[in-house]
Order: sequence, then C-alpha cells, then structure tokens
Amino acid sequence: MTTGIVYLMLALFSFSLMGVLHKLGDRVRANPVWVAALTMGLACVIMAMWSATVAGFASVPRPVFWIALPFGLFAALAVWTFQGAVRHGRIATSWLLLNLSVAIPTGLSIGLYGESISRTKAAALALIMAAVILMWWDRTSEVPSNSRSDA
Amino acid sequence: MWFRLMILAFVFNGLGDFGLRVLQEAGYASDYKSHYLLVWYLGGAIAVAAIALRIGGKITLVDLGIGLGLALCSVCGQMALGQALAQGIAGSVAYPVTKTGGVFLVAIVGAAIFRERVGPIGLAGILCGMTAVLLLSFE
Repeated sequence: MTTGIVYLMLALFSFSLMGVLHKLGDRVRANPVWVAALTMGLACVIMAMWSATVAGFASVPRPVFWIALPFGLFAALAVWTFQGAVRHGRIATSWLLLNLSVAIPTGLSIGLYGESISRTKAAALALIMAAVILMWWDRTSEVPSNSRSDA
Repeated sequence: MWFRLMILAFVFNGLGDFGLRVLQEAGYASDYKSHYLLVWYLGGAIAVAAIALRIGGKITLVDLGIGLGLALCSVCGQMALGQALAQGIAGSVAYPVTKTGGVFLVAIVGAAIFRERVGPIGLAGILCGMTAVLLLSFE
C-alpha cells in the first residue's frame, strides 16, 4: 500500500506540474501550436521506448489503432487551445475548467451507451454548469489585466 | 478570448478522454491501454505537427523545453496512476486525489508564483468545480 501511495503522489505531482508548465510556457512565450505538437510527439516517443523496453513491444490491433487516432487528435487540439487560453486568463480557473471537461465523456457515455444517471452524477453535472457560468461571470466582471495585448 | 479558447479546450479535452470509454466498450481497455496511448499520442502529434509546419513558424528551444516537460509529466502521470491502482489504491481514492488535489495545487502555485488573484465569484466557481470533480470521482 505504501508503494501505491508513492505512485499516487507521483501522479498528483505530474498532473499538477502540467498546469504549472502551461503557465510557465506562456510566461516564456512558447508557441502554443508547437508546444502541442512537441508534447504529443515526445510523449509518443517516450511511450514507444517504454513499450519496446519494459512492456515488450506487441503489435497494435487494428480497432485500437483506429479508435486512438482521432481521439489523440482531439487531445492535441486541447493542448493547443489551452496553451493559447492561459495567455488570457488565470491558471487556477483555466486548469479547473479543463479538468471539468470530464463532463463530456460522462454526458456522451449517458447519451451513447445508455449509462444510468444517478443523483450524484446529475448533481455533479449541474455543479459543472454552475462552475462554468461562475467562471465566465468572474472573467467578464474583472478588469482585463491578465490579457496580453500581443497575443 | 479566454472563455472562447477555454470552451474549445474543454470540448477537445473531453472528447480526447472519451476515447478510453470507446476502447472499453470495444473490449480492448484492459489489455491494450499502453498501445492505445502510444497511437493516441501519435495521432495528435502528426495532425498538430502538420498544422504547426504551416502556421507555427520556427521551433524554439523554449517550445522544445515546455513540450518535453509536458510530455514527461503526461506519460509519468498516466503510468503512476495506473501503478497506484495496480498496487491496491482504490479508484475512489486515486481519482479524487489526482483530480481535485491537482486543481488545488495549481491554484496555490498560481497565487504564490504567478501572483494571480482570484475574486470571490471565481472562488465560488472553483469551489463548485472541485465539488463536482469529487462527486464524479466517487461515482
């Protein structure tokens, strides 16, 4: 269990550091589209190295390949647009909004695969809607000091 | 501009995550997750690199450094989360800790290092959002 907690803390640190790196990327004026391409490309190289050495490389079944390809494109577009967005807003609210996107797979699972909607799930989706509205309200009510004019 | 880009990022990120659910429905999730991630990263890289080559201009060392950092964190986070679950940490603990803990940590870093102040409406939004993520994680 202790090893599990160490892995859990490593996961927490890694995911949190991603948010910080996005903001840092904005501060050092990294190019959002190249950041997205390099993030996905280098992660692919790391995964390939891991697959070849640790996991033992095996061929990718065709359905897995065709499922992964378009969804990877969406993920890369998310990195690109997010890197562009942090230039205009705070990292705290931006990172939260990105994490709230869990509402999309939840909603699609309900709509496409007929998953049941429990009270907890319905309450969570309502809270996500409320959070998005509050963050939009917060953003429109403030002086636009975070937005960089050259963006 | 922030809200428009964030809504796009919100939708794209959610769709990107939905692939795992499709994989699960197809019956490949338990045996082929690392294969899936490999092609997932590859698909995104090829498509966005094609766009970057047309409109992105030159790659700088800054782009490379940030991209490498994000790539390492992304792979490390996915692997560590998978290992934590494999070591017996319950999903009902692992997901809330990584999701809400991550949002909380990033908010602290934003205030401490980047000197970002969040107003009362924004704080209410953060509270609503973290509660929602907690509720979904325990589902």
